Amino acid sequence: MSGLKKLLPRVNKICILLYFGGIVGFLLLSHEGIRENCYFSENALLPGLVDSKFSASDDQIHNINLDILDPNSEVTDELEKFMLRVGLEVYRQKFTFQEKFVGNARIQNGTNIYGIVRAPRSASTECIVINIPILNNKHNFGMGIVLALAKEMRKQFYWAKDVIFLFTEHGSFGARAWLNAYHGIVSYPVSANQLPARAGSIQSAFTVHMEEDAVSFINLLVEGYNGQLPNLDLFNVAVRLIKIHGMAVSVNYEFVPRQSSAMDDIKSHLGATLKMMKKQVTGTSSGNHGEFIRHGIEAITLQTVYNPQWGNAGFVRLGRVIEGISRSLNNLLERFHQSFFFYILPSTDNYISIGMYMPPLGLMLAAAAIKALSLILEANYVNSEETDKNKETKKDSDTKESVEDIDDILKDMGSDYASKENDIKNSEAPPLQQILITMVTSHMMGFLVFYAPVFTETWSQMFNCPQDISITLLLVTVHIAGMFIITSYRLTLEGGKSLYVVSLLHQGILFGVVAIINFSLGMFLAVCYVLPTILLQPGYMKFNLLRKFVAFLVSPLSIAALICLYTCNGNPATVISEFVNFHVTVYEQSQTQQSWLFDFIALLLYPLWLQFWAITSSEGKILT
Amino acid sequence: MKLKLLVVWAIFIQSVVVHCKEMDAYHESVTMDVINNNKLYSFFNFTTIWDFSDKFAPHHYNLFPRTLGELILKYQVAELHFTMTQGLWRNHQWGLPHASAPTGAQLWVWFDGNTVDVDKNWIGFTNALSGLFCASLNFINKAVTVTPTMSFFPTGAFEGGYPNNKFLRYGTLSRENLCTENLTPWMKLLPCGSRAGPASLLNPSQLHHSRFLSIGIHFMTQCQSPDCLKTFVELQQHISVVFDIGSGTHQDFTLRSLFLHLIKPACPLASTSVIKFKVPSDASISPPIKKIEEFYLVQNLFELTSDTNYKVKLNKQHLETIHIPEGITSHCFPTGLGLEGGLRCSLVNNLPKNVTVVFFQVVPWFLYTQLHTLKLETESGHRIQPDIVNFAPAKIRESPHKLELVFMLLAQEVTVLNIQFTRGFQTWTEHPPDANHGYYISPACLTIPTVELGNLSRDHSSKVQRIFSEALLITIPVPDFSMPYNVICLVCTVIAVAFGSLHNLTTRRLQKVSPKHKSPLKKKIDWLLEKICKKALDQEKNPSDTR
Repeated sequence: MSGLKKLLPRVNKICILLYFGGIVGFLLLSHEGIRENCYFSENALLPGLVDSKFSASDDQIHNINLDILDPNSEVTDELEKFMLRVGLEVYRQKFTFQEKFVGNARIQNGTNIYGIVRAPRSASTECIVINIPILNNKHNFGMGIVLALAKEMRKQFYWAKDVIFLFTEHGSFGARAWLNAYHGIVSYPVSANQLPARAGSIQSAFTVHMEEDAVSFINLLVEGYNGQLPNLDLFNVAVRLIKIHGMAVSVNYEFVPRQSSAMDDIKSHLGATLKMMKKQVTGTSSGNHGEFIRHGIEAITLQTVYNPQWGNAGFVRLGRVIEGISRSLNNLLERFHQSFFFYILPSTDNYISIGMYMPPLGLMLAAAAIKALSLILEANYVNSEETDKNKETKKDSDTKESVEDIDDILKDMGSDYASKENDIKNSEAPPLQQILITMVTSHMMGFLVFYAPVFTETWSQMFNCPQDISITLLLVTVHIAGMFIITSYRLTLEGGKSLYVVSLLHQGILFGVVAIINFSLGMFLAVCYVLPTILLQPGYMKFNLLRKFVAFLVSPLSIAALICLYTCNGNPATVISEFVNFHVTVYEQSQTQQSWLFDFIALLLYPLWLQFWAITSSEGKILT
Repeated sequence: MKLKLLVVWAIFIQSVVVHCKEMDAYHESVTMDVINNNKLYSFFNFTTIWDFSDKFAPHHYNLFPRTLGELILKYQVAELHFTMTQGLWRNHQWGLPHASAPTGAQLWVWFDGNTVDVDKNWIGFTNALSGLFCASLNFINKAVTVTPTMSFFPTGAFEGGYPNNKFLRYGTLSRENLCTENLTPWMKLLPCGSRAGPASLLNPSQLHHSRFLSIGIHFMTQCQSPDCLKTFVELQQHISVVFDIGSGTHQDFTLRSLFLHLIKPACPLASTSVIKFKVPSDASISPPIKKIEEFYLVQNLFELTSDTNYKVKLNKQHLETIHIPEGITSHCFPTGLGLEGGLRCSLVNNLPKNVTVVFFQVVPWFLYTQLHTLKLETESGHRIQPDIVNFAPAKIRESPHKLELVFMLLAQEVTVLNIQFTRGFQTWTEHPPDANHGYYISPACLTIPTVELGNLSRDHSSKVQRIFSEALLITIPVPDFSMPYNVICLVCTVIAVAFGSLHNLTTRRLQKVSPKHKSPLKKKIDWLLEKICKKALDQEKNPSDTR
């Protein structure tokens, strides 16, 4: 115990050390010695074991694309015609959706079209989905390839799962409409018609996204909604097959560096890691595959990239890759359940698993926890020292009467209550009441932020400004109003300290839980918040203004502003529009894509931050 | 209720069919239907009739397979229906089959009216049958078995007229595959095996290159006279197979191109032996067949002198016909994500009239189905009140949920049936190998009176038609059997340990205790004892004080 006591004055140093230790640990994750090489857990996949049977030529595929591009008719009609001609079962689905909530909010229509290749010997209990988004103003050249593939599949006898060729309109809305109808569920803001036919439980899926009629390399998109990721085995299959067929593959446009120095190696891997995490923080998906993952189906997007300097690998190779992935998925006996669901990718060949990336975060969160703990211990020591002193003074005047002795003992036991009684005398309310009032108020403010966008239209009419500006104004106003409301209730020093302990623990738990679901978001928040909050300890009157500044710097509003400053690349003229755009985007994504970022900030992060804000304006005394 | 049941019985039960007096006989036939100009549906039917003077004689088997006969005698089986199927019969494209069968294995048996312990006989019989057909029928245990009330009435004569369903047992295994090892024992039951007649076409390796393959065995008792004083037994063996007849330009086919075999002349033991073709009117067959019976070109196989290869030439103009679904179809699928789930069936009635049907569905016990969530309405929102609802909730690990409904399918309407369930847990030892594959809900069965379907039905001899929907693969929570499971355990332990010590540190009051001090509790007790002793001593010293 005395050892602990000696450590107490140094706790700030320990916490800062832990914080930076966590950051360094995280940066080292991309190091050669720590990151691990990808491998296959699921033996049934057997990628590339069979010979490719894909026999269509580049010209044939090109002709199919030309057929579908027929300017005189709808793409969906051409697709339907072609699939019927090659003997697929073809069905249509109509759906409506709302794309925008701020500004021009109207209901739009869309059509999905899908063809099913029935596996000859199966009873349509399982299937694979190949999704080809119909791009709004461009042609998806992947159509020609998959249709050529469908034509051949129809005659092949080794398919054990039905294969659905799904052409969806309007990006993720179409995919969601189709998947919702497939599973008989409804989710706002998409409403979809019933599907006339199905093919059993969808085991896996992938999306082909090809904007140009040539391909240099394939970029794999993995990020799903709210930090969801496809099973690492599916990613491995795609990487392996693309390599087998002689194409280059990247993830987030990062390639595996060739023979580079240790420094360059860690730089490029760390760069790729951070790029992936940047995408994940937003909680949105990078492609249609996100909708599949949301519905419990492992999925990935193959996005082709063409760069004339790199040359053209041709349709046929991509066709073989698609065929190869389908055949690997066809081999599966069970759903994807092995390998990793939680990982980050420093390159296409390496991964960092949850077991590796959690400890650095744990170190950072431990810093906050230790800080809280130290305050509790300190309070205890102060209490016990006081009672010790009392005891000693009493002992001097003590007689041998045993009855008084017992009084003393009883007092010892209840010293807790005794000291609290003293506090009550000193202030208006006990710390517990102060904590409760502040926490409840801050969470109420969170609800206000959450529901503020409801009044967007009213505000835009009131102030005669566009809706995107009105929603930003609303959010900023409520945010700032919250700051004043929370500080209008003055915390005492004791209350401030208690709330500080509670808030530190609250923060640790919140970030820890978020990191389990969406590591990137958890890490980002820990980096932003842990160090400033450790330094916010109430009681140092000297630095009060500085503390307030630090606290304000990490408010959701300031972070948003800082991000906008960073993204506008030093062009200050665009900062305001960027800032408005940021708010609109975050809100729209929460509405249309059910990303949790806005909800999380409004309902959890903002109240937490308000608590720290309240602490900075609690009464303090100058320590001597 | 009883009255309603009787009405259902009147509609759906097979009336006593009167057959003229027959001696022991064996009929073999194969029917070839060209569907949509791109599929060939071949239906082989082998019927063995055993006419005995008074009782099923165990001593002398003539044409009837002895292996099966002995089992039937031993387990007091009155009627047996067993099918094994690979693939799914696609009603909306292929129409109604000659003999319907659900995906996987299906077995339903009526036992004799004087069977003492039906369950014991049922378990014994499934085990014996699984030995006979090399199939895993022994997995039809009590957790799979149900006793339907209205869907599976006897198709032959039954002692006592109105059958008591306590003698009926029904079970399905949707995961069971049909292989050559099941086909071989099935062929061995035929009097001529695969050496002659239509059976000579049955080439196991080719049969598995098909879109749909189903074998079936149906054993029943038939009446000889209207008063049913005399009966005989009948064994029907079916095999249905659907082939793709080429694609693109090669639409013509020959028997050899599909079966790799030629058809041989009739089995000498057979009474009748025929091959029937139903082809589009502009198609041609060579060698030509003259005789026409009910849209079928019929060739008597006794008239063949040597192995024959029939060649069918189809007209290429019909290649791109899109078939519009006719009659009644059913499509079921599981709904919902996560722990909550459900089952939805859309039942389409394209007929111009309302049709009363019996809907039958078995749901495994680990999907906790709730009857109050049952919703039956048309797509246009019209609510349908079922005439009879017969629901037996599951007993955990004992019996599955059984849902049987009688209701009206409105004309030209899509009726949607919806029922919700919660996915339950199984203990980790109960999971089968490949647990992550998922579990099957056996196909829903729709029973429709044949008269309602009219010409759409291919089988006019039975009074009801059954339409089976898809077997549904669903996932239930599966423990992680592999490495991450250990990781979770480890992490939980670490958290528990860390949490314990943290909790301890934060809630404990720390204070100095000098080693000389006695513990407070002991002190208190000592003090109390001392006080009591003191008082007692005081009282003893001067008792007068207390008075």
